[in-house]
Amino acid sequence: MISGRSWRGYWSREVWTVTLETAMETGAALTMRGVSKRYRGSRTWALRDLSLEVPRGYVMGLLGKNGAGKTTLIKLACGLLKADSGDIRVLGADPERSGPELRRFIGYVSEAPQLYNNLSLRWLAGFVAGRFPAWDEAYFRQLLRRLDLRDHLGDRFGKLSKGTKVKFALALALAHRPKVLLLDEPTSGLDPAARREVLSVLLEALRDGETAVVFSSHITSDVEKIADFVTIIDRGRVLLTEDKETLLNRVVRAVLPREAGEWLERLGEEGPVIHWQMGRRRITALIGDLDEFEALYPRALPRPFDVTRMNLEDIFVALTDAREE
Amino acid sequence: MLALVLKDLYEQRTNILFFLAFPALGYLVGPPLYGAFLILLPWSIAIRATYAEDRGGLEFLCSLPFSRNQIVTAKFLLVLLLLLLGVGEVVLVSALPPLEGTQPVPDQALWVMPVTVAGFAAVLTGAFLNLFFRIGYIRALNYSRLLALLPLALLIPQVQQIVLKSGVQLFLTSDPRRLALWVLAGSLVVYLALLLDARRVFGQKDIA
Repeated sequence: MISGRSWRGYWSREVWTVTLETAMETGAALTMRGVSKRYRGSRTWALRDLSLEVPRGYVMGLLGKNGAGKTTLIKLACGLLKADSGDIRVLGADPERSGPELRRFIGYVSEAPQLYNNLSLRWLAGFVAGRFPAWDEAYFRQLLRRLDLRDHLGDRFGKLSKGTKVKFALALALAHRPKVLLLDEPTSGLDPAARREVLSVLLEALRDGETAVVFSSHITSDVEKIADFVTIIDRGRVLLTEDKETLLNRVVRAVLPREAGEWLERLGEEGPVIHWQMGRRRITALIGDLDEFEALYPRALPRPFDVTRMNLEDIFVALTDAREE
Repeated sequence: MLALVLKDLYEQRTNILFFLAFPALGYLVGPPLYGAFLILLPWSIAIRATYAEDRGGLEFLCSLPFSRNQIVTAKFLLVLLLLLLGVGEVVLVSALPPLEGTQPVPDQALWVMPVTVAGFAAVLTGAFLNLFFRIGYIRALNYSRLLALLPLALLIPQVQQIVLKSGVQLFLTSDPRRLALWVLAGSLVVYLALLLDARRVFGQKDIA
């Protein structure tokens, strides 16, 4: 027998606590309030009434399935797309209206950077450098060395491999020391060595704690490595926003005795159990808050029960699957 | 904005040099090639430059500190620059003494033809750029090709008769130089309108 419950009531209480408090202290670099976006000719919403905040100096790992709205969110923050409704603020300014002035403080790397195939990297770097007053040439050279790009400077962009293109786009985005860095799946499609290189450069670049980063990826291990907090979106809505460590400690998988089934039924939607499944002998449950669960767990039921810690990928899959069910 | 124009000029340098060789060929073959050159130079370069933008360049530019107006205006400015370059070259080559065995360039063709054709080229390319910023590369290219085929309508006898009766007679009877300047002025007004419209539309558009 398979049984499931809605987790909506539980998660909606938790969504804002971590980020809002931190944002109040440090000032948010990116704020979205009630943002909706639907592409022309599409019946479905790419983003629906989405709200989130990224405080200054924090890295937000953005997770979501294909078509969840990750790219739309990043493009809206960059001013590439226009929102149908809602309010977007990047460093306190509206990216749609502030235009070039605001983009001096934003670094953007798309999933598959396409610059100009006929232009050399040297020429492109000069072109981009001329647009940013804060361009740091020494730092750019350091990035080129670190990312093994120095030998490619004379090459045309079109001749580069995908990994080299991404690395070059990342160097361009970092060299003007942006206050907000928007990275749309920068590591997808890269070989493990290039991925590791990109991540380590990013971690080094973010040491100063000044830059707010939106790091979208399908590769949850990358997000786990780099993010301070995680936002999971699904079908254009925020499913969860939470500090990474808290999330990893809080969400667990537990194997419970069959006798707990009746209690789980009674617990209702507001309880700490996101989803549970009755097996032949045992119940497998996805617990949203282990501490709360242990406090509520009836003494009359058999103990101890098995608890398995989950990595971010497990949590992501479990949560999105639970929502679908 | 100058940086954007220079970027396109540098990126299309090989193609521009290729097209600039046309008038030299026209010097050997005769004036009709000049007309083809003046249409092809801005149109082809605009098509090639927008192809690069369509492949991701536009998203890259829009993520940099450029305004959308600057991006649109730079493309229109590039086309004007190419037209100016083309007309200048044609006028220069036409003024050269004719080669032995070739027809001398008629006095009228010395600048009346380049100026008139440049007007048509400006409208054709302006329409292409407007459509590019409005509906995207592929559709803009298709519509623009149809527009480029417009002069072929002159091959249809009925159209020929109408044109001969109205336009050409007017052209021959009035001062052709003054008429050419009117054509150019009219074309530039249309070109400016296309630019302003493209700026308005592109300013509201999603870069998806």
